[in-house]
Amino acid sequence: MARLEIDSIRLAIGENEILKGVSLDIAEGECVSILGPSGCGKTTTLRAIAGFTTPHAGDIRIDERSILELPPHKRNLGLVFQDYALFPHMTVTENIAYGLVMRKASKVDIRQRVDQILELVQLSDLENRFPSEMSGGQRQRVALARALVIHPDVLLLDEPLGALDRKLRDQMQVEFRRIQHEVGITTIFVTHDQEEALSLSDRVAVMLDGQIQEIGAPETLYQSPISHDVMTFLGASNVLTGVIAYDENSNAKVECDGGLVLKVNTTGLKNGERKRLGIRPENFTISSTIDTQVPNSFNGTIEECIYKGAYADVYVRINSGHLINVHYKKQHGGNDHGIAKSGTVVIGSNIFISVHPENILMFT
Amino acid sequence: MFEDKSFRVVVNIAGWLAMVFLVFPVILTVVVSFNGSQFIEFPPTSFSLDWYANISSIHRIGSATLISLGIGLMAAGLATVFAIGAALVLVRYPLPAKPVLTAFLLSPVTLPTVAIGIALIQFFIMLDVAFTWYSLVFGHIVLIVAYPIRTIIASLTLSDTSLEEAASSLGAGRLTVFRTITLPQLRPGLISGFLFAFLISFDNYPISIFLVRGELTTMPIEVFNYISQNLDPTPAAFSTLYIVIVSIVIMLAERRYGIISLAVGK
Repeated sequence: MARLEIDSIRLAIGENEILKGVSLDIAEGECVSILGPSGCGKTTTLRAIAGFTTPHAGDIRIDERSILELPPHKRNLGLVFQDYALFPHMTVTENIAYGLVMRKASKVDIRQRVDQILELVQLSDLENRFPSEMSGGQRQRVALARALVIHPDVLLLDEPLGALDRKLRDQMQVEFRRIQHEVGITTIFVTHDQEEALSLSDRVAVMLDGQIQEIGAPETLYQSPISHDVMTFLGASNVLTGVIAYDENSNAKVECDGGLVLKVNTTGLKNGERKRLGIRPENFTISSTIDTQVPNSFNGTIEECIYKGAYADVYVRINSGHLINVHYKKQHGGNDHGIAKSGTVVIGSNIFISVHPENILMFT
Repeated sequence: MFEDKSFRVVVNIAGWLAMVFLVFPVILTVVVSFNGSQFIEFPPTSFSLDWYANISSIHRIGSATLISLGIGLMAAGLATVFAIGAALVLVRYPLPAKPVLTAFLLSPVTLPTVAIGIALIQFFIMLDVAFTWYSLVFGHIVLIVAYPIRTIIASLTLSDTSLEEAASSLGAGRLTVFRTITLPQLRPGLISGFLFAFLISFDNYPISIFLVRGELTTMPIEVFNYISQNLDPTPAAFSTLYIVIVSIVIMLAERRYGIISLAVGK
């Protein structure tokens, strides 16, 4: 167990600067994910920690000691590769034992630790199989076991669930969380899958264009991102622009184009300031009748409805001309707000949508 | 345009004709070796195993075959070792003029063998090592090294560098990674490269003819000498044995390591 500090590392390949000063501080036993689109530099960051590439500036420290001078094989890190990188000419046991053999552990010790870790990842009955004889999920577990058995200071994972199909991913997510809690190891993983990042980590670092944009607990990052880019990257959002104006009771509101006026809760805003707003689709309520008690209620027509299983993505053209994305969930046995007939939303129906001022995110 | 089906028929026929063209001389050799006649004739008139019994009458055939075997194993072994280094550099390291270097290393395949033979003997006379077994080995290496280079390049291109990274993250130093991860991955390329190199060395005539003298002669040279002085099918009997042994070796290697796909190149 160890603390990992990445201290403003920079890395360029030719003219192309890939890491533009990345800093990240990971506490003992913490699980942090680096989330970003492909090409944002997240894998390069991971490779720099592992020692496969060397930053041109900055430092990487484990427990206050710089590891930059150490070659990869002396860094004592556990790595899980995207395609698992299991040794095809070795059995499960030999794969897992590889790191222990390199550490010159005794035969008895190796046997014991391999058995122990096989039990942890629930693969005890497959110890003599070759990687080619196993399913993707099983290979994933072997890769995890191989990385964990050497008791690394830090566990690094590259798109750990990326190669698995949907159902297996969900299973492995639970499994991975269990193992991570049981072992309690400092973990850093990179992914482009926001669901994976939000569900697996204690903190998420959103990386865009070679820089960490924002870091925080999954909920905080999703519900109240500080940066506009992070908001649009994490989940769907309705983005509007408008100008701050105060009414006679000095309540803040934002006047958008098309005559759309939104009441907002935030204080300390300057009159006339231009702001970007973000509203998550799931924060809208949809109803067939207007509720005068609710602020920010708008009339509109349903233009499109895309069924997603747990909810439906409804697109509403409100009277100001904006097309708003709203999540619609049929209430179990309750009121369907009169907008749905036999479970489906009727395109073209006239409805009202509303959003609580608290749920309007504001950015410069 | 061809109908899909008729096009396939044409390709099939062309393929089979080519096969017959390639295999026919081999079949002819085998058939002739069992013929009772004093001369090489087809179709055969009677059956006999006399020519097999007569193989020993080829001058020095036993010791010449042993020399060919020894030279072939040494040359192929060394060529494979050199080829590992060359292929690693060509595939893994950023080099200027890579295509030029690759072409240079593979050039013995495209040069006239006789020209290589003349060049080699002049070179060896200059170094005062002509007509020694080791100069013969090195002469053969020049000719055959292109084959293992090619198969090992193919293996290396197919191999996965993340395996090596995984091994080093688990605590293996560079040499250990090479020994425990890289080499096992290269096995099909090593084996097929070695085999091709050995076979080409083993039955090489045009280079060996320049490099041998007296007691140091190789199997193909003695067989050619015999043919030039006798007309009977004894060499056909010897060739049949040779074909059978080589076919078995290649079949085993293909079954175990899938060498043909590598030699052809993917």
